[in-house]
Amino acid sequence: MEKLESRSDAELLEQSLAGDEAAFLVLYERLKSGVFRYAFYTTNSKAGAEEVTQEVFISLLQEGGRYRKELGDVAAFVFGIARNFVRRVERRERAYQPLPRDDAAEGVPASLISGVESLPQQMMRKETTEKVQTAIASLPDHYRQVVVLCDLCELSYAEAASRLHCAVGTIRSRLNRAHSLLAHKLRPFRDPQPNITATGTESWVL
Amino acid sequence: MTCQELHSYFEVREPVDFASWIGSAEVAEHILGCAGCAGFVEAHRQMERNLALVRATVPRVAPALDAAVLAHYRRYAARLSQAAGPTAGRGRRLFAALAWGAAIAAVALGAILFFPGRKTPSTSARPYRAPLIIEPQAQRPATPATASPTTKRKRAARAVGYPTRHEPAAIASVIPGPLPGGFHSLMYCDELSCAGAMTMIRVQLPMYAASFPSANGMVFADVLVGPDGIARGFRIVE
Repeated sequence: MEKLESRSDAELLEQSLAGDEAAFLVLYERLKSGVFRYAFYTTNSKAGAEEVTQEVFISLLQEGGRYRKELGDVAAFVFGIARNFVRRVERRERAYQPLPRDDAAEGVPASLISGVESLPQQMMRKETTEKVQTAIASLPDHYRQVVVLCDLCELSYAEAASRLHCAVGTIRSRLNRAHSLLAHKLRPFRDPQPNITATGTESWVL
Repeated sequence: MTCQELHSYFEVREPVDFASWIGSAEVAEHILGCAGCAGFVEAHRQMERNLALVRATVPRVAPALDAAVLAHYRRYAARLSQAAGPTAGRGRRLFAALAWGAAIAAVALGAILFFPGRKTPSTSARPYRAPLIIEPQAQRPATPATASPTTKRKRAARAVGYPTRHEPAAIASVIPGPLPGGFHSLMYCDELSCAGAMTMIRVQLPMYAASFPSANGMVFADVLVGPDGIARGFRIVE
Protein backbone atom coordinates (compact mmCIF):
# COMPACT_ATOMS: atom_id res chain seq x y z
CA MET A 1 0.00 0.00 0.00
CA GLU A 2 2.88 2.36 0.78
CA LYS A 3 4.25 1.82 -2.70
CA LEU A 4 0.86 2.59 -4.17
CA GLU A 5 0.64 5.82 -2.21
CA SER A 6 3.76 7.09 -3.91
CA ARG A 7 2.46 6.36 -7.38
CA SER A 8 0.90 8.90 -9.66
CA ASP A 9 -2.81 9.05 -10.39
CA ALA A 10 -2.18 7.90 -13.94
CA GLU A 11 -0.32 4.80 -12.77
CA LEU A 12 -3.01 4.03 -10.24
CA LEU A 13 -5.69 4.39 -12.87
CA GLU A 14 -3.85 2.03 -15.18
CA GLN A 15 -3.49 -0.55 -12.42
CA SER A 16 -7.12 -0.12 -11.42
CA LEU A 17 -8.30 -0.77 -14.93
CA ALA A 18 -6.18 -3.91 -14.97
CA GLY A 19 -8.03 -5.21 -11.91
CA ASP A 20 -5.83 -4.08 -9.00
CA GLU A 21 -8.30 -3.32 -6.21
CA ALA A 22 -5.71 -1.83 -3.85
CA ALA A 23 -4.67 0.67 -6.52
CA PHE A 24 -8.28 1.59 -7.11
CA LEU A 25 -8.86 2.19 -3.40
CA VAL A 26 -5.89 4.54 -3.19
CA LEU A 27 -7.06 6.42 -6.28
CA TYR A 28 -10.61 6.60 -4.93
CA GLU A 29 -9.42 8.02 -1.61
CA ARG A 30 -7.45 10.67 -3.44
CA LEU A 31 -10.23 11.79 -5.72
CA LYS A 32 -13.51 11.16 -3.96
CA SER A 33 -13.45 14.16 -1.66
CA GLY A 34 -12.92 16.64 -4.48
CA VAL A 35 -15.57 15.02 -6.65
CA PHE A 36 -18.07 14.85 -3.80
CA ARG A 37 -17.52 18.44 -2.73
CA TYR A 38 -17.78 19.74 -6.28
CA ALA A 39 -20.96 17.75 -6.84
CA PHE A 40 -22.42 18.85 -3.54
CA TYR A 41 -21.73 22.54 -4.07
CA THR A 42 -23.10 22.49 -7.57
CA THR A 43 -26.19 20.38 -6.91
CA ASN A 44 -26.80 21.65 -3.34
CA SER A 45 -27.91 18.15 -2.49
CA LYS A 46 -26.18 15.39 -0.58
CA ALA A 47 -28.12 12.71 -2.43
CA GLY A 48 -27.23 14.32 -5.74
CA ALA A 49 -23.58 14.53 -4.75
CA GLU A 50 -23.52 10.88 -3.75
CA GLU A 51 -25.16 9.88 -6.98
CA VAL A 52 -22.72 11.91 -9.02
CA THR A 53 -19.71 10.57 -7.11
CA GLN A 54 -20.81 7.00 -7.62
CA GLU A 55 -21.52 7.53 -11.30
CA VAL A 56 -18.18 9.24 -11.81
CA PHE A 57 -16.22 6.27 -10.52
CA ILE A 58 -18.32 3.77 -12.44
CA SER A 59 -17.78 5.82 -15.55
CA LEU A 60 -14.07 6.06 -14.78
CA LEU A 61 -13.86 2.28 -14.90
CA GLN A 62 -15.68 2.19 -18.22
CA GLU A 63 -14.07 5.19 -19.89
CA GLY A 64 -10.71 5.24 -18.12
CA GLY A 65 -9.07 3.64 -21.14
CA ARG A 66 -9.63 6.87 -23.04
CA TYR A 67 -7.46 8.85 -20.61
CA ARG A 68 -4.30 10.34 -22.14
CA LYS A 69 -1.56 11.91 -20.05
CA GLU A 70 -0.91 14.66 -22.55
CA LEU A 71 -4.46 15.97 -22.16
CA GLY A 72 -4.09 16.68 -18.42
CA ASP A 73 -3.95 14.94 -15.08
CA VAL A 74 -6.36 12.27 -13.93
CA ALA A 75 -8.08 14.68 -11.55
CA ALA A 76 -8.96 16.94 -14.46
CA PHE A 77 -10.21 13.93 -16.43
CA VAL A 78 -12.37 12.88 -13.48
CA PHE A 79 -13.58 16.44 -13.05
CA GLY A 80 -14.72 16.45 -16.67
CA ILE A 81 -16.77 13.33 -16.03
CA ALA A 82 -18.18 14.83 -12.82
CA ARG A 83 -19.12 18.02 -14.59
CA ASN A 84 -21.09 16.09 -17.20
CA PHE A 85 -22.93 14.12 -14.54
CA VAL A 86 -23.70 17.27 -12.56
CA ARG A 87 -25.21 18.81 -15.67
CA ARG A 88 -27.28 15.69 -16.16
CA VAL A 89 -28.55 15.84 -12.59
CA GLU A 90 -29.29 19.54 -12.93
CA ARG A 91 -31.29 18.97 -16.09
CA ARG A 92 -33.23 16.24 -14.38
CA GLU A 93 -33.85 18.18 -11.16
CA ARG A 94 -34.60 21.51 -12.78
CA ALA A 95 -38.33 20.99 -12.48
CA TYR A 96 -38.01 20.31 -8.77
CA GLN A 97 -36.45 23.41 -7.22
CA PRO A 98 -36.46 22.73 -3.47
CA LEU A 99 -38.08 25.27 -1.27
CA PRO A 100 -36.39 26.32 2.00
CA ARG A 101 -37.49 23.94 4.70
CA ASP A 102 -39.03 26.18 7.33
CA ASP A 103 -39.92 23.37 9.66
CA ALA A 104 -36.51 21.74 9.65
CA ALA A 105 -35.32 23.40 12.84
CA GLU A 106 -38.66 23.20 14.63
CA GLY A 107 -38.58 19.42 14.72
CA VAL A 108 -35.18 19.27 16.36
CA PRO A 109 -35.37 18.25 20.07
CA ALA A 110 -34.08 20.83 22.52
CA SER A 111 -31.53 18.39 23.84
CA LEU A 112 -29.81 18.29 20.46
CA ILE A 113 -29.45 22.03 20.08
CA SER A 114 -25.91 23.16 20.60
CA GLY A 115 -25.34 25.24 23.67
CA VAL A 116 -22.95 27.53 21.85
CA GLU A 117 -25.37 28.41 19.05
CA SER A 118 -28.99 29.12 19.84
CA LEU A 119 -31.83 27.98 17.64
CA PRO A 120 -32.39 31.44 16.10
CA GLN A 121 -28.71 31.63 15.33
CA GLN A 122 -28.82 28.21 13.72
CA MET A 123 -31.81 29.25 11.66
CA MET A 124 -30.13 32.45 10.58
CA ARG A 125 -27.02 30.57 9.63
CA LYS A 126 -29.03 28.07 7.67
CA GLU A 127 -30.95 30.84 5.97
CA THR A 128 -27.75 32.66 5.10
CA THR A 129 -26.22 29.51 3.70
CA GLU A 130 -29.23 28.82 1.54
CA LYS A 131 -29.26 32.37 0.22
CA VAL A 132 -25.59 32.22 -0.66
CA GLN A 133 -26.07 28.86 -2.31
CA THR A 134 -28.98 30.28 -4.28
CA ALA A 135 -26.89 33.27 -5.28
CA ILE A 136 -24.05 31.02 -6.43
CA ALA A 137 -26.47 28.82 -8.33
CA SER A 138 -27.88 31.86 -10.12
CA LEU A 139 -24.49 32.88 -11.50
CA PRO A 140 -23.69 32.18 -15.14
CA ASP A 141 -22.12 28.76 -15.46
CA HIS A 142 -18.57 29.90 -16.20
CA TYR A 143 -18.58 32.15 -13.13
CA ARG A 144 -20.24 29.53 -10.96
CA GLN A 145 -17.66 26.91 -11.89
CA VAL A 146 -14.85 29.21 -10.83
CA VAL A 147 -16.50 30.09 -7.52
CA VAL A 148 -17.17 26.45 -6.74
CA LEU A 149 -13.66 25.35 -7.61
CA CYS A 150 -11.67 28.23 -6.08
CA ASP A 151 -13.82 29.41 -3.18
CA LEU A 152 -15.64 26.26 -2.12
CA CYS A 153 -13.40 23.38 -3.22
CA GLU A 154 -10.36 25.55 -2.39
CA LEU A 155 -8.38 24.68 -5.47
CA SER A 156 -5.55 26.95 -6.54
CA TYR A 157 -5.94 29.06 -9.65
CA ALA A 158 -3.63 26.75 -11.54
CA GLU A 159 -5.64 23.68 -10.57
CA ALA A 160 -8.89 25.39 -11.50
CA ALA A 161 -7.37 26.42 -14.82
CA SER A 162 -6.37 22.79 -15.42
CA ARG A 163 -9.87 21.55 -14.64
CA LEU A 164 -11.60 24.11 -16.83
CA HIS A 165 -8.99 24.01 -19.60
CA CYS A 166 -8.36 27.75 -19.58
CA ALA A 167 -5.59 30.15 -18.59
CA VAL A 168 -4.89 31.20 -15.02
CA GLY A 169 -5.57 34.81 -15.98
CA THR A 170 -9.01 33.78 -17.17
CA ILE A 171 -9.68 32.17 -13.82
CA ARG A 172 -8.61 35.35 -12.01
CA SER A 173 -10.77 37.63 -14.09
CA ARG A 174 -13.76 35.34 -13.90
CA LEU A 175 -13.42 35.00 -10.16
CA ASN A 176 -13.19 38.75 -9.71
CA ARG A 177 -16.27 39.25 -11.82
CA ALA A 178 -18.09 36.45 -10.03
CA HIS A 179 -17.30 37.99 -6.64
CA SER A 180 -18.63 41.33 -7.77
CA LEU A 181 -21.83 39.68 -8.98
CA LEU A 182 -22.16 37.71 -5.75
CA ALA A 183 -21.61 40.81 -3.64
CA HIS A 184 -24.25 42.56 -5.67
CA LYS A 185 -26.72 39.70 -5.27
CA LEU A 186 -26.13 39.42 -1.54
CA ARG A 187 -26.30 43.15 -0.86
CA PRO A 188 -30.02 43.30 0.05
CA PHE A 189 -29.47 40.32 2.28
CA ARG A 190 -26.67 42.10 4.16
CA ASP A 191 -29.01 44.89 5.17
CA PRO A 192 -31.30 43.33 7.78
CA GLN A 193 -33.71 46.30 7.86
CA PRO A 194 -34.54 47.42 4.33
CA ASN A 195 -36.06 50.82 3.76
CA ILE A 196 -39.78 50.17 3.49
CA THR A 197 -41.06 53.70 3.62
CA ALA A 198 -40.85 54.14 -0.13
CA THR A 199 -43.87 51.99 -0.95
CA GLY A 200 -47.10 52.13 0.97
CA THR A 201 -48.16 48.60 0.19
CA GLU A 202 -45.03 47.03 1.70
CA SER A 203 -45.41 49.11 4.86
CA TRP A 204 -48.99 47.98 5.17
CA VAL A 205 -48.03 44.32 4.76
CA LEU A 206 -45.20 44.54 7.27
CA MET B 1 -2.38 52.82 -0.74
CA THR B 2 -4.68 54.22 -3.41
CA CYS B 3 -8.21 53.07 -4.23
CA GLN B 4 -6.96 51.53 -7.46
CA GLU B 5 -4.29 49.53 -5.65
CA LEU B 6 -6.91 48.31 -3.21
CA HIS B 7 -9.26 47.22 -5.95
CA SER B 8 -6.46 45.57 -7.90
CA TYR B 9 -5.92 43.12 -5.06
CA PHE B 10 -9.29 41.54 -5.81
CA GLU B 11 -8.26 41.00 -9.39
CA VAL B 12 -5.15 39.07 -8.42
CA ARG B 13 -5.53 37.95 -4.79
CA GLU B 14 -2.54 35.66 -4.87
CA PRO B 15 0.01 35.28 -3.34
CA VAL B 16 -1.40 36.99 -0.20
CA ASP B 17 -4.63 35.53 1.16
CA PHE B 18 -7.61 37.73 1.94
CA ALA B 19 -7.43 37.50 5.75
CA SER B 20 -3.81 38.59 6.01
CA TRP B 21 -4.23 41.26 3.35
CA ILE B 22 -7.23 42.89 4.95
CA GLY B 23 -5.52 42.89 8.33
CA SER B 24 -2.52 44.78 7.02
CA ALA B 25 -1.84 48.31 8.31
CA GLU B 26 -1.95 50.08 4.95
CA VAL B 27 -5.35 48.61 4.07
CA ALA B 28 -6.74 49.59 7.47
CA GLU B 29 -5.35 53.10 7.07
CA HIS B 30 -6.90 53.51 3.62
CA ILE B 31 -10.29 52.19 4.72
CA LEU B 32 -10.43 54.68 7.55
CA GLY B 33 -10.15 57.57 5.16
CA CYS B 34 -12.23 56.20 2.22
CA ALA B 35 -15.88 55.34 2.78
CA GLY B 36 -16.30 53.83 -0.72
CA CYS B 37 -13.42 51.43 -0.30
CA ALA B 38 -14.58 50.63 3.23
CA GLY B 39 -17.99 49.52 1.90
CA PHE B 40 -16.35 47.60 -0.93
CA VAL B 41 -14.01 45.76 1.42
CA GLU B 42 -16.79 45.10 3.92
CA ALA B 43 -18.95 43.60 1.18
CA HIS B 44 -16.16 41.24 0.21
CA ARG B 45 -15.41 40.43 3.82
CA GLN B 46 -19.05 39.50 4.31
CA MET B 47 -18.99 37.44 1.17
CA GLU B 48 -15.90 35.61 2.38
CA ARG B 49 -17.72 34.78 5.61
CA ASN B 50 -20.72 33.56 3.68
CA LEU B 51 -18.57 31.41 1.43
CA ALA B 52 -16.91 29.96 4.52
CA LEU B 53 -20.37 29.13 5.84
CA VAL B 54 -21.23 27.33 2.63
CA ARG B 55 -17.89 25.51 2.69
CA ALA B 56 -18.71 24.25 6.16
CA THR B 57 -21.99 22.76 5.05
CA VAL B 58 -20.43 19.98 3.06
CA PRO B 59 -21.33 16.65 4.64
CA ARG B 60 -18.98 13.74 5.06
CA VAL B 61 -18.92 11.10 2.41
CA ALA B 62 -21.22 8.35 3.60
CA PRO B 63 -19.63 4.92 4.16
CA ALA B 64 -22.48 3.49 2.09
CA LEU B 65 -21.15 5.43 -0.91
CA ASP B 66 -17.68 3.96 -0.40
CA ALA B 67 -19.20 0.49 -0.14
CA ALA B 68 -21.27 1.01 -3.29
CA VAL B 69 -18.29 2.21 -5.31
CA LEU B 70 -16.18 -0.69 -4.05
CA ALA B 71 -18.94 -3.14 -4.94
CA HIS B 72 -19.03 -1.68 -8.44
CA TYR B 73 -15.29 -2.05 -8.73
CA ARG B 74 -15.43 -5.68 -7.62
CA ARG B 75 -18.10 -6.40 -10.20
CA TYR B 76 -15.89 -4.73 -12.80
CA ALA B 77 -12.89 -6.83 -11.73
CA ALA B 78 -15.00 -10.00 -11.82
CA ARG B 79 -16.17 -9.18 -15.35
CA LEU B 80 -12.56 -8.53 -16.28
CA SER B 81 -11.43 -11.93 -15.05
CA GLN B 82 -14.42 -13.63 -16.70
CA ALA B 83 -13.60 -11.91 -19.97
CA ALA B 84 -10.03 -13.16 -19.73
CA GLY B 85 -11.11 -16.75 -18.92
CA PRO B 86 -13.33 -17.62 -21.88
CA THR B 87 -10.85 -16.04 -24.25
CA ALA B 88 -8.16 -18.43 -23.10
CA GLY B 89 -10.60 -21.34 -23.34
CA ARG B 90 -11.58 -20.28 -26.81
CA GLY B 91 -7.92 -20.19 -27.78
CA ARG B 92 -7.37 -23.71 -26.48
CA ARG B 93 -10.42 -25.00 -28.32
CA LEU B 94 -9.29 -23.31 -31.51
CA PHE B 95 -5.83 -24.86 -31.18
CA ALA B 96 -7.33 -28.30 -30.61
CA ALA B 97 -9.58 -27.89 -33.65
CA LEU B 98 -6.63 -26.83 -35.78
CA ALA B 99 -4.58 -29.81 -34.56
CA TRP B 100 -7.40 -32.21 -35.36
CA GLY B 101 -7.86 -30.62 -38.77
CA ALA B 102 -4.16 -30.93 -39.53
CA ALA B 103 -4.15 -34.60 -38.47
CA ILE B 104 -7.15 -35.40 -40.64
CA ALA B 105 -5.60 -33.59 -43.59
CA ALA B 106 -2.34 -35.53 -43.14
CA VAL B 107 -4.22 -38.85 -43.07
CA ALA B 108 -6.19 -37.89 -46.18
CA LEU B 109 -3.02 -36.84 -48.01
CA GLY B 110 -1.33 -40.11 -47.07
CA ALA B 111 -4.30 -42.09 -48.32
CA ILE B 112 -4.27 -40.24 -51.65
CA LEU B 113 -0.54 -40.83 -52.11
CA PHE B 114 -0.78 -44.45 -51.03
CA PHE B 115 -3.72 -45.29 -53.30
CA PRO B 116 -3.07 -43.25 -56.44
CA GLY B 117 -5.53 -45.30 -58.59
CA ARG B 118 -8.50 -43.96 -56.65
CA LYS B 119 -9.09 -40.69 -58.34
CA THR B 120 -12.00 -38.45 -57.96
CA PRO B 121 -14.42 -39.02 -60.86
CA SER B 122 -14.37 -36.20 -63.30
CA THR B 123 -17.54 -34.48 -64.25
CA SER B 124 -16.29 -33.51 -67.69
CA ALA B 125 -17.65 -35.31 -70.71
CA ARG B 126 -15.66 -38.39 -71.56
CA PRO B 127 -14.57 -38.74 -75.23
CA TYR B 128 -16.25 -41.22 -77.45
CA ARG B 129 -14.31 -44.43 -77.56
CA ALA B 130 -14.75 -46.63 -80.52
CA PRO B 131 -14.74 -50.40 -80.05
CA LEU B 132 -11.37 -52.05 -80.31
CA ILE B 133 -10.44 -53.33 -83.66
CA ILE B 134 -9.30 -56.70 -82.44
CA GLU B 135 -11.14 -58.69 -79.86
CA PRO B 136 -9.28 -59.26 -76.58
CA GLN B 137 -7.66 -62.63 -76.16
CA ALA B 138 -8.24 -63.28 -72.50
CA GLN B 139 -11.86 -63.42 -71.38
CA ARG B 140 -12.66 -64.55 -67.92
CA PRO B 141 -15.81 -66.59 -67.52
CA ALA B 142 -18.58 -64.65 -65.85
CA THR B 143 -20.74 -65.89 -63.00
CA PRO B 144 -24.12 -64.33 -63.59
CA ALA B 145 -25.61 -65.59 -60.34
CA THR B 146 -23.23 -63.58 -58.20
CA ALA B 147 -22.47 -60.69 -60.52
CA SER B 148 -23.01 -57.24 -59.08
CA PRO B 149 -24.26 -54.32 -61.21
CA THR B 150 -20.69 -52.98 -61.48
CA THR B 151 -19.46 -56.36 -62.65
CA LYS B 152 -22.28 -56.49 -65.17
CA ARG B 153 -21.28 -53.11 -66.57
CA LYS B 154 -17.65 -54.22 -66.91
CA ARG B 155 -18.74 -57.46 -68.59
CA ALA B 156 -20.93 -55.59 -71.04
CA ALA B 157 -18.06 -53.27 -71.86
CA ARG B 158 -15.83 -56.24 -72.55
CA ALA B 159 -18.53 -57.79 -74.78
CA VAL B 160 -18.68 -54.75 -77.03
CA GLY B 161 -14.95 -54.26 -76.99
CA TYR B 162 -14.67 -51.11 -74.86
CA PRO B 163 -11.42 -50.95 -72.95
CA THR B 164 -11.69 -50.97 -69.19
CA ARG B 165 -9.34 -49.24 -66.81
CA HIS B 166 -8.28 -52.36 -65.02
CA GLU B 167 -7.28 -54.36 -68.08
CA PRO B 168 -4.23 -52.75 -69.65
CA ALA B 169 -2.77 -56.22 -70.57
CA ALA B 170 -5.74 -57.03 -72.79
CA ILE B 171 -5.36 -53.75 -74.61
CA ALA B 172 -1.65 -54.39 -75.18
CA SER B 173 -2.50 -57.53 -77.05
CA VAL B 174 -5.00 -55.86 -79.27
CA ILE B 175 -2.71 -54.10 -81.71
CA PRO B 176 0.67 -55.81 -81.59
CA GLY B 177 2.18 -54.47 -84.72
CA PRO B 178 2.41 -51.21 -86.64
CA LEU B 179 -0.58 -49.30 -87.91
CA PRO B 180 -3.41 -51.38 -89.36
CA GLY B 181 -4.62 -50.82 -92.84
CA GLY B 182 -6.56 -47.72 -93.79
CA PHE B 183 -4.88 -45.52 -91.21
CA HIS B 184 -2.69 -42.65 -92.20
CA SER B 185 0.44 -42.40 -90.13
CA LEU B 186 0.88 -39.23 -88.09
CA MET B 187 4.51 -40.07 -87.19
CA TYR B 188 7.19 -42.55 -88.14
CA CYS B 189 5.81 -45.80 -86.96
CA ASP B 190 7.44 -49.20 -87.02
CA GLU B 191 7.21 -52.30 -84.86
CA LEU B 192 9.73 -50.92 -82.40
CA SER B 193 8.44 -47.38 -82.02
CA CYS B 194 4.75 -48.23 -82.19
CA ALA B 195 4.91 -51.36 -80.09
CA GLY B 196 2.21 -51.80 -77.53
CA ALA B 197 -1.50 -51.54 -77.38
CA MET B 198 -3.22 -48.64 -79.00
CA THR B 199 -6.64 -47.23 -78.47
CA MET B 200 -8.86 -46.11 -81.27
CA ILE B 201 -10.98 -43.08 -80.60
CA ARG B 202 -13.74 -42.00 -82.93
CA VAL B 203 -14.17 -38.25 -83.16
CA GLN B 204 -16.59 -36.04 -85.04
CA LEU B 205 -14.97 -33.51 -87.32
CA PRO B 206 -16.28 -30.19 -88.49
CA MET B 207 -17.69 -30.18 -92.00
CA TYR B 208 -15.03 -27.92 -93.49
CA ALA B 209 -12.30 -30.42 -92.45
CA ALA B 210 -13.57 -33.02 -94.91
CA SER B 211 -12.65 -32.80 -98.59
CA PHE B 212 -15.72 -34.71 -99.68
CA PRO B 213 -19.42 -34.11 -99.26
CA SER B 214 -21.02 -36.11 -96.48
CA ALA B 215 -24.37 -37.77 -96.94
CA ASN B 216 -25.74 -37.16 -93.50
CA GLY B 217 -23.79 -33.98 -92.87
CA MET B 218 -21.52 -35.67 -90.30
CA VAL B 219 -17.86 -36.58 -90.71
CA PHE B 220 -16.12 -38.98 -88.32
CA ALA B 221 -12.50 -39.98 -87.95
CA ASP B 222 -10.82 -42.83 -86.05
CA VAL B 223 -7.63 -41.84 -84.20
CA LEU B 224 -5.16 -44.40 -82.93
CA VAL B 225 -3.57 -43.35 -79.66
CA GLY B 226 -0.58 -45.13 -78.22
CA PRO B 227 -0.06 -46.02 -74.58
CA ASP B 228 2.03 -42.86 -74.15
CA GLY B 229 -1.01 -40.72 -75.16
CA ILE B 230 0.44 -39.72 -78.54
CA ALA B 231 -1.72 -40.14 -81.63
CA ARG B 232 -0.12 -42.56 -84.10
CA GLY B 233 -2.55 -42.49 -87.00
CA PHE B 234 -5.98 -41.64 -88.21
CA ARG B 235 -8.53 -42.51 -90.81
CA ILE B 236 -11.66 -40.85 -92.11
CA VAL B 237 -14.80 -42.88 -91.69
CA GLU B 238 -16.86 -42.59 -94.83
